[in-house]
Amino acid sequence: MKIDFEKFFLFQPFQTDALMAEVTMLRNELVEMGHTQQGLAGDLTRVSNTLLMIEEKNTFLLHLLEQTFDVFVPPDPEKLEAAHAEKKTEQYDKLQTAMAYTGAGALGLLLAGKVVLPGLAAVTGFVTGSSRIAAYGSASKFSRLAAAGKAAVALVIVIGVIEMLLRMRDAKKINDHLREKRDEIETQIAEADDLLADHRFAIKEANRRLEMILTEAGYPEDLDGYLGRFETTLRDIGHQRGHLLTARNMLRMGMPKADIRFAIDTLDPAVLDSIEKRLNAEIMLIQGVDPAEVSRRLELTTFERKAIELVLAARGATAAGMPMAQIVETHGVTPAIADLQQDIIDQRIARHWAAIDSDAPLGPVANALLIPEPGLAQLRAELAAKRALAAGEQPSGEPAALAAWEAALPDLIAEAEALKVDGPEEQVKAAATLRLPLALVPIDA
Amino acid sequence: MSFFKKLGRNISKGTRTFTKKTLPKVGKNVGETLKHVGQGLGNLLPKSQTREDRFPELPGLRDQAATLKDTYSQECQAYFAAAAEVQMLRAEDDRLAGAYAKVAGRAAPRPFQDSIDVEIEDNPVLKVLKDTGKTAEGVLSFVSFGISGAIFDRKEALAEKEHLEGQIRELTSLIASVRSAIRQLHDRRDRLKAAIAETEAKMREAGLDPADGSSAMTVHEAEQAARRATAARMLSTGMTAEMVANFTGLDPEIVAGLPAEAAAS
Repeated sequence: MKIDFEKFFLFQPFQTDALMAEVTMLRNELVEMGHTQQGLAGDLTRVSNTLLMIEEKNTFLLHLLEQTFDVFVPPDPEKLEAAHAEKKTEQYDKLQTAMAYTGAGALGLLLAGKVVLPGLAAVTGFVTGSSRIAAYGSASKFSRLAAAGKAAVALVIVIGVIEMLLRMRDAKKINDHLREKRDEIETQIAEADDLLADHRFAIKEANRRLEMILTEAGYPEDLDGYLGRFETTLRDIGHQRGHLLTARNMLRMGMPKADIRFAIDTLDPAVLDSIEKRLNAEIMLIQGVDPAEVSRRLELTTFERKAIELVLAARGATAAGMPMAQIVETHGVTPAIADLQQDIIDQRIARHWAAIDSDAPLGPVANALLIPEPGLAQLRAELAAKRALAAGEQPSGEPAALAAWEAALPDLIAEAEALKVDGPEEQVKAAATLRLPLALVPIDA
Repeated sequence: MSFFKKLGRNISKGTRTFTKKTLPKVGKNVGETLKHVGQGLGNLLPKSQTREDRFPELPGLRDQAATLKDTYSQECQAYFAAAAEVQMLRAEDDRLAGAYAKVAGRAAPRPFQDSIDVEIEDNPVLKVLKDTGKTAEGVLSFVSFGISGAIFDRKEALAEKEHLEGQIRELTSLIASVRSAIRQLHDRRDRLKAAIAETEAKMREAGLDPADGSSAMTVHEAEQAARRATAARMLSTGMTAEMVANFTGLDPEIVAGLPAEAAAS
């Protein structure tokens, strides 16, 4: 918005009413601008909320796929390379760097057009879109702009100046004041103008991004259609995931492959073979079989075996209590895979808690849980240290870790007592959740 | 020199100025004359008597008004930030409630529904502007830049003092109204947070991660359905429910409730 100041200066002292009318119009325009700003901020918040929701869903989908594929033998990059060369997809490089190892490799295969799971063929295109959404960058920058409200403040200031003019009720004074405040008024209006332009640009960009996402997924101008398709895709993956995890569980419990294929009749034999190979590799590595021997017996390439070793190391570190971010950093696994290790441990560790919190050999526990023994040994040491700290002793160990445990202990003990567990089963569950020795979780008789 | 001595000297000096310089100009026009008379009278006051001398509180008032203007501007920013936060929380609450309804088969607990549903469109900052009838006298002018010289061209310290006092009054009341609007928003924010926390707790009870929202639930349901289908096929072979539960990882009670499905060839 531009103000023609010269126009105001043409009014003579006796033309006060006419000048007041002009200034009133100016004020009304500015107030209108304020309403426009309100409307724009609302639009911006709405579209950025939609984008954030889509972003969140797609991040979830990619993580889910990574975790789902982690039941397989991780594919060798050379195979990925070949698949990539066939399809010439742009995503390959990004994924290659971002998801170096583990299940993400299989996701790379899926994106490169080499579908691992027959049931997931239909989602390939959709998932490719997901990986691109992650590359757009966060949509939160849009909502941040809407939250600032700077344009409204600039307008309030300039409207204040204009109101002051109206208060003068004297053409000469108004003109004098206008001359004096001209620069300031222009600066504030320019700022409000700029900010409104930013709003408009951001709305346009956000809408363009939204439309691009919808069009790429095959649902131009149809958010509901897109979200519906999203749900279907998630259901497909969830269904597959249920089958894959059940199959792994059955293999683990020694059910013959023929029986498994009868029970899960949609399971591809190659898929079952891959799950079996991965499971056997984990079992052998946990049992301490020489890695080269594991590779030889299971016909794994060095890369494939090392990727499995990485996941196991991450699982051991998780059991030992290392924070997730640090696991991602030190073990080279993706956040989704690190997260999965925590889930795997949380699901099954409680029933072995008593054994861990004792002097019994850890080998059988490691084999049962498929968690590397060193990680469990560290957990056992932590429990022993906590017991000692609770008894007022000074256990040996890393000072920083000891200090952290000591600081957290009173709250954890209070929490355990507040739970009032009513039996041994509840007791181990509570102890595992709070990472406490059983002795510190009293059974409330 | 005492004040009265000084005043006496100035009166004589002022009178000299008045007779030698001002009088000859009288007659040009009345306005001009009065101006000169005023100047002459002004000169009668001792030279050291500035506005600040007459009203020592003036610098303090100016500082206070300037601080209040800054505060007002900051409070406006805070208002917009709070409004945006509430809008984000509303979206989050909707998302979670939808997710919860899906898994629980009934609406999520919305203890504060009524108060949450009030639209946040009463922007107090712009509302003040809308009520221009009231503000025509310039409520907002007090919020603007420094005081215009135009208003004080008669250089009256009293006028500035009164203006500053009025400005401080108006700013204080404006700040109070924006703060009360922010408090209302914060109240809504807290209610929304409480509603979100409650839904999240319910979801955790159901063994679901609220962060993943409805997506996690969709996957979880599909996963369980796949396991149930497998379990049904296994039951049809005559396997015990307990074994089937072990193999499929399903809750034994769920398995016991499944009908044995005739296995397809």
